[in-house]
Amino acid sequence: MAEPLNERKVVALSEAQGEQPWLRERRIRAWRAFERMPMPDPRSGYWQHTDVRDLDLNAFSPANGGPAVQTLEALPRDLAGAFADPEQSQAVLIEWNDRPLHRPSQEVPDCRGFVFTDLHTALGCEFVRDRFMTDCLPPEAGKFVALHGAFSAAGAFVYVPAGFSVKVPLRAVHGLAGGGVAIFPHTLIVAEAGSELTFVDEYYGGNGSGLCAAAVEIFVGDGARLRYASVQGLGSQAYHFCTMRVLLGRESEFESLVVSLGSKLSRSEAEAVLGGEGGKSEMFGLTLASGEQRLDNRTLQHHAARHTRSDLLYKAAVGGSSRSVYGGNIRIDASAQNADAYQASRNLILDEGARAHSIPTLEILANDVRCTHGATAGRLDDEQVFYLASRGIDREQAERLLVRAFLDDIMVRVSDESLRARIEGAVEAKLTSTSM
Amino acid sequence: MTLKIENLHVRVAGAPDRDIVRGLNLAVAQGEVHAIMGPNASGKSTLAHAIMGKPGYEVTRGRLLLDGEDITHVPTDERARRGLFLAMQYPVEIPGVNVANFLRTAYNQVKGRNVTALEFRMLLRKRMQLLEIEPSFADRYLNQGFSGGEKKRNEVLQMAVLEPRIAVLDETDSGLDIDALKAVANGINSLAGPEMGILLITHYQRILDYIEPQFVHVMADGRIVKSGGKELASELERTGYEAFRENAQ
Repeated sequence: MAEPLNERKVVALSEAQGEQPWLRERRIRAWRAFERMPMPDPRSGYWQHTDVRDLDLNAFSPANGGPAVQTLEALPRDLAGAFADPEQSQAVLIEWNDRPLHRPSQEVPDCRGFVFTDLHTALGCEFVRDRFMTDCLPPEAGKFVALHGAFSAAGAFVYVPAGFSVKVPLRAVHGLAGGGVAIFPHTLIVAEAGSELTFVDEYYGGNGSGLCAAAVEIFVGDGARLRYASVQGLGSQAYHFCTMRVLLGRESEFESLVVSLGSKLSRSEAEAVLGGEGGKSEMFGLTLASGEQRLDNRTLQHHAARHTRSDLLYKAAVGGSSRSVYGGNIRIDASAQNADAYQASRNLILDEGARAHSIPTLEILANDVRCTHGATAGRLDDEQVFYLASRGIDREQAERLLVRAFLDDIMVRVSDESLRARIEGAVEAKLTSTSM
Repeated sequence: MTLKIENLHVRVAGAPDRDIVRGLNLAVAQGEVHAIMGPNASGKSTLAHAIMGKPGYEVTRGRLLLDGEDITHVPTDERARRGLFLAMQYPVEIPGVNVANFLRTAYNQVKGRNVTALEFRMLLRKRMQLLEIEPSFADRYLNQGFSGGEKKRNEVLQMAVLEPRIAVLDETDSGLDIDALKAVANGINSLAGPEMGILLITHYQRILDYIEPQFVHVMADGRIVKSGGKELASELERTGYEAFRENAQ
């Protein structure tokens, strides 16, 4: 029986890792915030339809105090290349149970030039101290963010200097072994003015029970362009919680894609704060739920400055007796005149027992804005299924083709070919491994 | 292979009080070209859909036999894998599925094979050349934004790839101008041969100027009222359908 999570354990883990006092204090603050907050209530709007009250967090042990596990089992095959190919190896961070298996760089960064390293290494740098769970995503942001803040010491750090354009997409791969382990991967990205970056977080894991409480903080400087994607392909007994928040500067552009495929229960929050005039965000979501899965996605398009634009499309295909939830909030501050916001949620229901919930919320305080939203739910088109059947395509294959067709308008938005191929591969694997 | 239709009665979900096809008998063998001609509402399209087993088309009496095996209750995809094909009057649009992927999936299932995307591309290109179809066709979404002629040529392309033993062509000539009609007819002629039986369902005689049937059947009020050789089509052209309707009663 694992020792329950408590403040003593937070301190012990921090000491075992030889962390500086500021970080230990921040962890204690996070732990206390976690203790103050009740478990989210499915009767409240923000957690409606997702019930985690029975989730026993004490059943999980933080991996970062345990021994490093040297295994690539359950990680995607293409990662092997990261160990051999120096070009690729500088663009990939691979962690297994919150321990680095492969680091793009091992030096403590000074943040004058481009940096991509693991967070543990980066925490030695003052620049990181000022930005790690402070202005963007403080521990008080939510129950699982606070838990994350208490234990997180792994993940990725990227610094892109002003005007610098990173030509290849960077990837951080987070592996979760299962066996009652908890991981807390953190991603911190600072893209300075006029810079450009594509970053991908990928979560994979074995089939045992496990917990992944992740957080992603992104600073997009004035005029910078940032593309972000996350692919969640955890094992069937894993719990996944992730909060991503991005702060956008003036005239900056942000694009995100959240792919939810794995886990038993997943809760992903993606928030774009448009705090600089002329900023623009486009957020996409792609969810495939099967069996008994509970996959929950929440988004916030927060317009806090004039002439900001946001666009959003989240799609979910649900089969078996699974549930998907999409909760989308558009918030337009009184100061954000001329904001333009759009939000769409589209659901495809494949089986009688499957459900897809869409919950839009609007909080509009400015009077001169454009804001539209829409949600739809539908089933497979009988005429299309018949057409495919008349060509010899059985129900299972027809479903696969039509689900891929349903997701196609999001896939075509992924401009990086290798990223698109990986997402398509993960979707394909999901569609073939389960009868949706 | 022979498709035998015995005393077939078909009821359609939208009109539950009476049969639309009422006691139809017909046999189509590989290598034969049959034409069924009939006025609107004679039950032609209902017959075509019933042959392919479309949900909502209920066979209330009679049966369909493929080489002696009763396929009346066999699902549509299984019928296709056994060698039946239906070129549809209104091919459905499927955005997000491109022609090549769709056809490869169909090809692998019908032929029981597992050809790679690259192998299939080569096979598809040959068929497209044969039918004088632009290579870019393969990457377009299935029927989306296709002109009437392109949709029908796409149906013929599918026939060319899947190589059915018995193909039913439901009003493949409808809505085509003369050039498109010629192109589609040429395509069908290039596929016809000893391996393929064709059942051409049409309202108008004009497609028979390009595709010559050995057998012509006149359909009225849900059954075949007269059968003959190709000269029957010319007779119809002169007399119209009315004479045959009265004949039937």
